[in-house]
Parts: sequence; C-alpha cells; structure tokens
Amino acid sequence: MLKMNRHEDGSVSVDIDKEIYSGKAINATMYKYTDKFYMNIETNSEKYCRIFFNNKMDLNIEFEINEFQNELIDQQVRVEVEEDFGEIRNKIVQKAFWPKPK
Amino acid sequence: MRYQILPFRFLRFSENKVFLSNEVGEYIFLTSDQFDKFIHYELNPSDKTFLDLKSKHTLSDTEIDPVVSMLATKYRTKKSFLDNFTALHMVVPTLRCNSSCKYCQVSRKELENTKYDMNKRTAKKTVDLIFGSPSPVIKIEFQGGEPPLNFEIIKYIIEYAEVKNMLAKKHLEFVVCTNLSLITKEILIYFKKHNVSISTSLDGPKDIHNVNRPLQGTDNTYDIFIEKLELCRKILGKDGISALMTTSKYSIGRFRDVVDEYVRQGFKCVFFRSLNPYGFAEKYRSEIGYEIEEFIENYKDILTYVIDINKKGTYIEEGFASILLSRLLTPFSTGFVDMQSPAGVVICGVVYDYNGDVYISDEARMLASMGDKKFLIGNVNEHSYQEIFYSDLVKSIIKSSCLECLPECSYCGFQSYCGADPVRNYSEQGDIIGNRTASTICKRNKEILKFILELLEEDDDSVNNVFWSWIMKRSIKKDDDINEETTRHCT
Repeated sequence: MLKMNRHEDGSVSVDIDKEIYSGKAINATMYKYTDKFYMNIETNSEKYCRIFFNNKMDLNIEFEINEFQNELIDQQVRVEVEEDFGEIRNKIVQKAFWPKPK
Repeated sequence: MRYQILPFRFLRFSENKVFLSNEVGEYIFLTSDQFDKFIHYELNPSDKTFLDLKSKHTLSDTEIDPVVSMLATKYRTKKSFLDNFTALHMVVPTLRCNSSCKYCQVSRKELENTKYDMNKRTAKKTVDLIFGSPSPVIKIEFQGGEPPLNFEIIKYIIEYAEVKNMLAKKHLEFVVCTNLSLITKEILIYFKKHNVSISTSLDGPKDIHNVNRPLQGTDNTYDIFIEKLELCRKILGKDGISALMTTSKYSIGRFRDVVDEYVRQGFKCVFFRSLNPYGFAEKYRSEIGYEIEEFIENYKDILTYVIDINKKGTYIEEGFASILLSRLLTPFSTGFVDMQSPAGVVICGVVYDYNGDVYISDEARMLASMGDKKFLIGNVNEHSYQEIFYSDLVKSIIKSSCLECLPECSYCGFQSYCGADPVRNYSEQGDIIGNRTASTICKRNKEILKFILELLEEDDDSVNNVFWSWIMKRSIKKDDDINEETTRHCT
C-alpha cells in the first residue's frame, strides 16, 4: 500500500516512484480522481513525485488511496501494452481509411 | 511462447473480472489471473483463454498482416457512418407550437406569432443546400415548434425536394415530427401520397402524458392523441407512425406503466430518453428533473421488464439497448447521431432553423434558443454548402469529438460502443471536450452498458433470443417480421 502523508491543511499526499510509473499513467490516474479530490502533483526528488489529495467530499481516504494505487497499476499496464501494439493500431486505422481502389 | 498482443482496451468490470474489447468492438471477459498471464505473455497456445483471445483478435500467434487487414475491414464497417456524410436534415418550418411541454427544448413561440415561420425563399435555399450533400440517402425531418402549423411550407419543401430528386436520384425520405393534434384526414392523405412518415411523442399513460405534454386550451391531450393515432394508422398503415418518450420526474418510478402504454397502443419500440439540459427543461429542472442515478436504476428495471414481455411473445424493443446490442454483437455501424466517434453532429445530421440558420445538431439549436449560438455554422440565405459544412468551426468541433483522443475515453474499455456529444459537454460543463468524471452521460452509458453485458454474460438463451430479435428486427415468434420503419428511432 502507498504510504500516506497527512498535512496540516487537511490534505493527504502519496509519493510515487517515477521509475515504476510513467508520467502518462500518473496523469491519467489523477484525472480519474478529479471529481472526488482537488489534485496536485509536485516533483520532490529525482526518484519520486508527490501527489496531493484534497477531499471535495467526505470520503474514506484510505480506501480511495488504495483504489488510486490499483488504478495507477492499470494505467501503467495500458501504457506498456500500448507500446507493444500501438503501431498495429495505427496500421489498422490507416488501412481502414486508405482510399478504396476504383 | 511470445505471442503478439493486438490493440485492446480494458476495464475492471468487477472484483475479479476484467473486460477487454478491441478496436472493432469484439469483447471478452477474463479473470484477473487470466488477464495477468495474458499481458505478461504467459498464456499457453493450448489454453482455452489463449484460443478465446485469439478468436476475439486480441492476440495473434501467426503472421500479423492478414489479421491487420481483417481488422481494418471490420473497422471500416464500424465507421461506415462516415462514408456518405450528412443524410439526416432536420428542418424547422415554424417555432410556433400549441403544446406547453414543461421540458420543451426549443422555447416555443405563441400560435399567432407567424414571424417565426419559415418563408418560401428560405425553404428553397434549404432544399438546395440539402441536395449539396454527397449522401445517396436524404432524410428530411420536419421538427418544430409544431410543424403542421406551417403546413404550406412542409408541402413546398416536399414537392421541391421531389423535383430536385428527379435529377439527383437519391433515396429520399420525409418524416414529420408532430404531437398529432393538428393532423387531419387531408394532411394524412397528402403524407400517404408523398411517402411521409410520422414521428410523435407519447410519454406514457394518460396521467403522465397529460402532465408532460399538455396541449394549450384543453385538459384532454391524451384522448386527442389516441384519436389521431388511430386516424394516422388507418391512413398511413400501422408502420407509418412511431413514437418517442421523454422521461420527466413524473415518469420516474412509472417506467413499467410507460411500457404497458406503448404495448397497448401497438408500438414496437420504446426508447427511454433522459431529459436534455436545454430549453425549458433546464429552466424547470427543479420541477421536472431528477438525478441521473434515478434514471439508471429505473432503466435497469425496465429493461428486464421489456425482455420479459418479449419472452411472452409480444415484440417490443427498448431502443437504447437495441443500439448498444448491435454495437456489442455485430460489426455493423449504427446510425445513432447522439453517440458516434467522431460525433454525429454535422456528419450524420444537421438542423435548419425557421430563419435559415444552420446548427450542428438539434441540441445546438436548443442552446441557441437559450441565447448561446456557439454551434451556429451559417445561414442558408447567406452561405454556400462549402462555407457551412467545411468551415473551420465544423472542423474544430469534429476534431474535438473523437473518443480515440479524448481524456479517459481514449483508453476506456467501452469506447467502441460509445460516442462523443460536444454540445452536451459544452452545455453541462462549458467545454466541448468535457470532463468525463463529471459527465452524467458517461455515467449513464457506462452503467447501462455494464448492465447489458451482465445480462449477456448470464448467457440465458431466452434473453439472448430477445436481444437478437431486436438486432434482427424480427419477433421471436416465427413469421412475425418487424417493419424497420416502426423501430426507426431505435437505430
């Protein structure tokens, strides 16, 4: 489980290892939480970035952070498999819209 | 063995279930364990999961080019709504209306206010512009106001379009959207002669219909509707008229009564539509609105109810489910303007207002009636086809409405079955791209898709038969084919 840091202003933050998770995965995950939290991200070291959660509603923060972690893993999977098949997707779309022979 | 993973999207469907779909909408469920093995290249070619994924074109262990070609063909089929450009042309002959629906989306005008009628010059220019469309199919749909209040212009447009079509030789269709109150035998005979079908509104049984759609100057809206419905069927045939419903607060909790009414009146399709945030509906939201969650819960209940009715031998299709099922189970494109990628605005349908203003969709016209003309793309009296349809505004709207590039939608497992609605996003969130986490439409589509997929996963033959009967427009009773016209709003 991600280690939570509690701050005086009521916000909570977690540190994410940038070597494990790409910026793309982190951003996509944060986006999904913008309805529940005011989100912020800071780079606090070369290895980690710190993500801040400011509760918009009265949510169970431990539960939400656990869910966030799972979502982050899914997003990283998406980024990685996309690297494997992204080129094929482009080929399919390109071929689909290639002008039909007259 | 290292196989090739083919493009797919996924989402966590439930605790231990992952939903995967590919670019052309073929889908498969895996357990979390199977999914992990799949993405880590640990599946064995003799595994059932391996073979299932291969059959769904999510992985390949053979030469990739033939698979790419096949997926490209399927992809082209799925996107074939793009092929011919605009087929649906909605024309507003008048904004005058004799109804006082609280959720009216177009800000109706008083009956005597004829300055809101389309004139002949604008009507002619409108038809000229419509025939500029490269589409081999042209459907002219008269919207209002209450269109028969300006019947002369309807006739003029129909007859002028027919003359133009002698040369153009397109498949030409006409639909008049009407509350039926002003329909007469003479009008119907004219419609019959010119192959015009009618689309009307029925919101449910008498009490709901009377509250939602009161005619001005009478408490008897429903009875008038039923009387005119019989007249329409007598002259146009039972397939010459179809109906749509809109859900207001009064219908929440009463969906079963709505379906019963549709069955009683002999309709073959009921399409449960939630309120749009436009026109009077937005103004009276507190009085007639509801939370999207309430709609979704009611919808799930009604879908099982409609399935049961079909199982007992009465064909009635739920229109929204029918569209989603076609997208889930067939490779074909469905012409539902509100849910396409890129969005169906302009590409599938366009609206010509009484004064010649052209809007990208009917919802855009509704927004304009609230004072925001962001989606006004020209005027038939001032601009050419090229200036209107190939404008920078149109291009930028279409560019911003491809799910493949929108935040969250780009990787959503349901992308192949969904669509973008830039006007709705703008209206609800002030931005045509919109934020998915705050989108009521995203929530509705996801929940309903999940529910339908759960039903499909149960693999109950009797339910599957009903679903396929909706896709095929064929009753599960033998020899009881359904005329597609009767269910045209469903596709």
